[in-house]
Amino acid sequence: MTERHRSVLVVDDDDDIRELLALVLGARGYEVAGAGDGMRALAHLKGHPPPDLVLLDLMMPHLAGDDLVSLLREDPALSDVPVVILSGDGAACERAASLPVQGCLLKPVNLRDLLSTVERFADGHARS
Amino acid sequence: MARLGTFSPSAGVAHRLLRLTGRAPPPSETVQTTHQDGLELATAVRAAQVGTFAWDVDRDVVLASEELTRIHGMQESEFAKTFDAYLDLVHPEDVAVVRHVVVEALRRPGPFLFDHRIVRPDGATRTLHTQGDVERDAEGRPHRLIGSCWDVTEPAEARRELERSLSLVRATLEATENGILVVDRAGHVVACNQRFLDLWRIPPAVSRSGEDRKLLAFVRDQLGDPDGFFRKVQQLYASPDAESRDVLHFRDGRTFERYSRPQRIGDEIVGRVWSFHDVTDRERALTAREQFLAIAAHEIRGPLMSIQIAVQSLQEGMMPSEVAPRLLEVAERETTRLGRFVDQLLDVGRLRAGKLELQLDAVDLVDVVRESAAQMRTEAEHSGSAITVSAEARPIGRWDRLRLGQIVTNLLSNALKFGEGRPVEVQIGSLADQATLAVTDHGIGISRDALECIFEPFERRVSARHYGGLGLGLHIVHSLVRALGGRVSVSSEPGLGSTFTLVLPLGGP
Repeated sequence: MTERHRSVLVVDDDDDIRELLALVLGARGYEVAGAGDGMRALAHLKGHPPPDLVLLDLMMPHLAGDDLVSLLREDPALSDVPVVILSGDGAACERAASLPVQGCLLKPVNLRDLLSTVERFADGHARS
Repeated sequence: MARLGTFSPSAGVAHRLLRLTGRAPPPSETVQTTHQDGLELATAVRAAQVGTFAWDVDRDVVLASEELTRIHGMQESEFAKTFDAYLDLVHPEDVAVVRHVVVEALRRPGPFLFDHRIVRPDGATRTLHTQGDVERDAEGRPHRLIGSCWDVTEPAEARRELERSLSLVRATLEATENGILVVDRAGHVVACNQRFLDLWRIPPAVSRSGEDRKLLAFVRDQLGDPDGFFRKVQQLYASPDAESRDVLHFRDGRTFERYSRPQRIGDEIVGRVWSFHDVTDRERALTAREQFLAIAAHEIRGPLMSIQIAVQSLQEGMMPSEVAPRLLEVAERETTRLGRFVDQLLDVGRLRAGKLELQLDAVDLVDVVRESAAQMRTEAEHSGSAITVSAEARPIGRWDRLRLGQIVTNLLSNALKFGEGRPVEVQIGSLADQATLAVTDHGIGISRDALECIFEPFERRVSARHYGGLGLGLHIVHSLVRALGGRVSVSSEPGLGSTFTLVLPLGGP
């Protein structure tokens, strides 16, 4: 049996962050997809198998991060996908505490913390 | 001094007064007074310090009582003997009034009364109150004007002092930024200023009622929490000696500070004073500042993270070699982005302090636009919006090339950010000695409310939940365009897009 690639969806309106995370996580063997806002993330999720982790920014055009979380949790196919907030908003982690998400990283996050968080949730989800 | 002729019986009290002060001839047979009556009345008149006079109109002879000469600070022999001579004793500012009153009294039957000032020989000014009437002949022609007057300087001063105090209170009440309402213990409005009526948008029909109950009913719908508001009002009316300070939030976004304290006369509480201060602008500024700091942190953290991850990835040597140049590219782009961010903040500081220095030179607007559009290529690709430039003319003006480029870049960046991936068009033209530039997007557009403040610093026309950015770009555009002697305007339809139009004089600022 071949090992399935663990997949991460990066939802962030910052093009450079999406590109960078795709490069860095890609080099670690993750399959990385990106979406520039919540609406694009929803469109992506409809056409693809559920990812093992969603790294989610909060402040985005069209559909903000917290609104996307609510929609994910209402969808039976996506309700148990781990979501980790990745935001530059100083109050992001306080806000995340009241959201049905698995974790929160405040930008700028260092590489080690990013990788360990991704491994913990994406790998954990992939094994479950 | 001339003497007055015999009084006719109809002269009444005036006749008696004159006679009793020793200035009238003995009573005729028709005057029904006794010697004893006269003495008593004379004493009463002196005690009352009432002066009397008569003016024989036909002969222009004035007769004054001893008391009247004393009131004027004169000896009997010094007093005016004609009407014009009397006017010389009147305060210059009141001469016209006296003349007018006398002319009217002669013209129309009926008594008259008025106040005027006199100037005594020692220079002292006194105020006199005068009452009188005119005797007429059978044909109704006036032949004598008689009257009495007394010194009302002290009461007049007191009245003027009261008027001054009232005027001071009223002027202060109207000059204050606060809306003031004073209500008595029975719930009647004792006083309020125009500012109060304006702040609460109370129409005259409601304010005229003078009842606090009606004012409260009128303002109810404006409040964000009417029940809480009414609870507090009732609580304060139930505790007459209580003081209170709190904040009121309105449905339309306004914010007032409310201060209330009892009104006292001596130790007695007679009512309650309410003071309202509109702090909407201050609250908005505070919110804008907080939002600015949060967004500034957000705008810095994103690029910092990219640089940090890129650098750490390279340090750890974990990345395939072909990926390294891409990481460096990202790091460089993000460094530039941070640099632009800092420049923007510094520019706003310079613009606000008026310390912007312009390097004016002959600048080709079409060149500047094409250069800016080329610089924005990557941003345009990411946004999905294509930028097209069309030039009907090639205006060359005396401008600052760098600043003009900044204006165009900011407008393009704004159009890409809110353009929803639809095309962005730039049109260049000229009109007489002016260049025109229009940047049009077909994106989310701008609401009417947001249009009003779109060029203000830190104004963000969109929710901070959805769009980053400090809200400085358009403010910088506006300030730079003005510095170049031009103007910028915007037209927009929500959902259809926006056009920003610049007009720049070719001759420069």
